[in-house]
Amino acid sequence: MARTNTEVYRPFRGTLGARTLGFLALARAGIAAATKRKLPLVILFGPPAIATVIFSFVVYARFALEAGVTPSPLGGPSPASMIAVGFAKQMIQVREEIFMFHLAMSLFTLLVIAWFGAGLIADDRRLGAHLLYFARPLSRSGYLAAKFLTVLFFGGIAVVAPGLVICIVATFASPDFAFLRDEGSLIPRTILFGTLWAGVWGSVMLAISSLFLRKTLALVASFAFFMITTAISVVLANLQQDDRFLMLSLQMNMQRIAGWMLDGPSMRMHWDVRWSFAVVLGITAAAWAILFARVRRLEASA
Amino acid sequence: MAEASSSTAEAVVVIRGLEKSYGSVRALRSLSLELAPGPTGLLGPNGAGKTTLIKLLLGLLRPDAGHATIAGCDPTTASGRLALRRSVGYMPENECSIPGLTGLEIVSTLGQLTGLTRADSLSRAHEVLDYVGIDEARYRLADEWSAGMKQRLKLAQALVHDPGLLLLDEPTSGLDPKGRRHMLDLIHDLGHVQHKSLLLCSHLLPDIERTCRDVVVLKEGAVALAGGIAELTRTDGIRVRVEVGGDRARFEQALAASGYACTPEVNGRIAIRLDGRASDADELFALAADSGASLRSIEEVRSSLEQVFVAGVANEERT
Repeated sequence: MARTNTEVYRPFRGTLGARTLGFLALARAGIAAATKRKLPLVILFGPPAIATVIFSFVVYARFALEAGVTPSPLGGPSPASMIAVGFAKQMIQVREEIFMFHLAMSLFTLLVIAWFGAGLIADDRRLGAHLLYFARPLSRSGYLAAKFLTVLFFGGIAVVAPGLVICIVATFASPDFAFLRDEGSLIPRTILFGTLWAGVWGSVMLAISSLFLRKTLALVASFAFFMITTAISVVLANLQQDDRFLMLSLQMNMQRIAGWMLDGPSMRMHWDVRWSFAVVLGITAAAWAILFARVRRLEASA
Repeated sequence: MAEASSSTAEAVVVIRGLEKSYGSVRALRSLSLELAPGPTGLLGPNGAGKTTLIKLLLGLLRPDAGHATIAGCDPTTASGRLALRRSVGYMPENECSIPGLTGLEIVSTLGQLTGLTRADSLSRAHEVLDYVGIDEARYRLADEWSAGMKQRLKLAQALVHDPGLLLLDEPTSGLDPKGRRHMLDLIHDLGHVQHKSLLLCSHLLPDIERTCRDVVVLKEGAVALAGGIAELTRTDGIRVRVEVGGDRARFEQALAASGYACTPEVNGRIAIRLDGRASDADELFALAADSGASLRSIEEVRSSLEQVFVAGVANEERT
């Protein structure tokens, strides 16, 4: 029996709604839980943040230096044409900066996605959170959408945000927003690629997480997946003198797609980009098949 | 009142011919049952099908055959499943928590998942945490809580959307005596004061006896016994205990000669079964007078729920 004035049951007077986007609450909770520990945030987001500042500064400096070019007093090309050629070079270099940023940061961004994705389903299983979720009006798709949004959020911060910052710096550093006019398509392409990167690796990470009961094991498995596929593809490509073996690695395929989407240099990857899309699509489909199967079992075990 | 295969217009749970097998193991065998509003205990030995029944009611498993409705919803359809989970609060048996969140955040998040707005879920989370007696600890990570607090948290999350029906799976599991008393007090309050319908699954018969009005005993996936606890335990009300003065031996002989089954007890008392006879004790007084004994006291003997449970499960005649 209730004993104190606080231990009195109060009936709920409001209304329960049928919320189709109810899974957003779960995604928010996942993000809130992950951001409570500050040290991993600092360690994981520190390098991409520093790299973003450095790359942004380089982009700014290129435009600033180019704007300061003065025509030669001894003749030669007209000043206008010199400046136009110079800016055209800078545009290409900015594109390459963004591409190189993705290459340079790929390991760190992968680490971010692995760290925040590895425990999302494994910890739920270990601590029995699924018992609470699936007794609610939450479908399996809603549960997966919430987990995917959580990992996409952190992946997006690590991949999409730096690319956007560099583009914004380039826009404001270029005279008369010339970057926006001449290379404006690079902004949506950067967002698209960043989302694709985070989505693909996030899907793989969630699938691995659903296979284990502990976050640490899921982390080890994800690095094993990355290292083994990359190592095998590189070794085979070198042994067989055939770069198409690099397609065995998800990471290499993502780099090939990055080169295609961001107009980066080919870097040994001369195969048709459609093959890379096919491989990425296949791996992502397999990851989601695993996810649906595992979450189906998770619901039945609730 | 819980009844097997009878019709009750206002039943909150109606089950007709429900069957479920795991491979060659038949967990439920053509189970038919109706549960009226109010607190009902679900008893049964391990493997009787209690957990399977709860999972089927929540729509977490699909039945092989048969049909069930819970709170008017069909758990086998997607829309019915979602609707019933808004009307039902489930407290799982196993330890469960959402990683990395405080108790308040857990209850609030689960409230939002059930359909509450953010503001409502937060205020409601405070109310139910107050109710179950979790104070400042609600702001700490629930991973660090004691077993008793986690158990109360599970009850709080089941109550956050104020459901009309609660499915409580072993709610006193792992609690110390004080915590168990508190939990039983809360459940009693919910069932008898707040008038919520409860399906309390437990191995602890005293818990059921203390908190529930009806009981369903499952055995090998079928209903072994169902009914009101008062009625079931009263079936042994035809057994009386008498305190005898005078010639006790002659009184016992007279009882035996008259066809009464009697069992001598300590302190000069005798337990007598009145099977098929009038429940008034006139005949006993007459026999006592004839045999030179006197009856100093006479009281009805109620069987405990444990006796009813054992009789129901073992299918033995109660003595």
